[in-house]
Amino acid sequence: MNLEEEKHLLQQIKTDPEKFGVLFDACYQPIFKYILRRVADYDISRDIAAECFLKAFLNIQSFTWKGISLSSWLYRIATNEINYYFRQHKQYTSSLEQLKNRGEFDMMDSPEYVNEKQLLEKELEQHNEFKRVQKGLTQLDIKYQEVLSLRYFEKKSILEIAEILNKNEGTVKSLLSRGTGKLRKLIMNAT
Amino acid sequence: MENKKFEEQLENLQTPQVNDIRHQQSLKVNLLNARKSSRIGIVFITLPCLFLFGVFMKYFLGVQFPVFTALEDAMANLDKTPFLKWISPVLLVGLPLLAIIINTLAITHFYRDKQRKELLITIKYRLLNISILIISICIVAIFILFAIGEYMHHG
Repeated sequence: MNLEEEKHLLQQIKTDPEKFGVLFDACYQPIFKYILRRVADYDISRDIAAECFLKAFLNIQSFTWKGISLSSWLYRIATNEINYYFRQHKQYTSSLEQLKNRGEFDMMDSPEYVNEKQLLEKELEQHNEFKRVQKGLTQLDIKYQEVLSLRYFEKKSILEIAEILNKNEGTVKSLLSRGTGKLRKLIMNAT
Repeated sequence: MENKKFEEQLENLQTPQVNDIRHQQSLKVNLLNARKSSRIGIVFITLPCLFLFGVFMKYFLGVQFPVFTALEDAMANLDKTPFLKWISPVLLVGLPLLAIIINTLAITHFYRDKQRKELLITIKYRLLNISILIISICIVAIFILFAIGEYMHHG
């Protein structure tokens, strides 16, 4: 979807919330993959992705178009949710969880999803180098985790990262350079 | 220099490729339909509830509302017109019946376990849906009892 199409879709969603389904279909997989690569846990990724899209669905009516793509906006929400998860860790309770507990929102855990979980966990297990980097990354400051994961896991450009994190390009470059150095030292010390 | 080499390694890092994610459909359905059934239910039972409230106020407490009197007159007129006399039953019984169906479907979940040969039926505890379901059943029951009473009285 290009920017013009996204702008048009945003207008449609504002008049008909059901159209959010189009954005959901286009962006769910990349966002879920991003979260999975950051947290490396299927269940947590699913919860964070659901939380991210729930927040987007509830807040999209107040989204004002400033030339920032909807997908970058979704990445930003996902990044904030991941950061919140890392800060809270064990105490992480999403508003989605609260809704589920109140019975207003549920996601079924049928054998199909158990299968999917096993497949994804197997896929993660097969990437040793990635696992080493991902583990090292979680030990860094959140500000480095954000830029490094978007650059090296999601292959985003500096401009896209700046847009997602609402930072200027210079700051992103500097964080990327310092973060890479720190990550290298961490990984070297670990081996 | 070492940093540059490490950067290159990271640029070429093979990341896990996740394809064929299936859980997104159930999330999408939940996301777009959450609370919708109960909202539709509220719309469907508003008119019958107001009508019954008006009946209670007028015939049991003797309090008259001009709005209710006008509504009552309009319904009486509709009953006299052969082509339009079905409107009152549809509004007063049909809509609550639809609310019953929609809200029942919203809180029940059927799952067939092929290995155990079992049909598992679960009922979700959604207070709003259950409340609307109970109110709708009460409305339909009141109108059916009223119709039976009228039939026995006149017939």
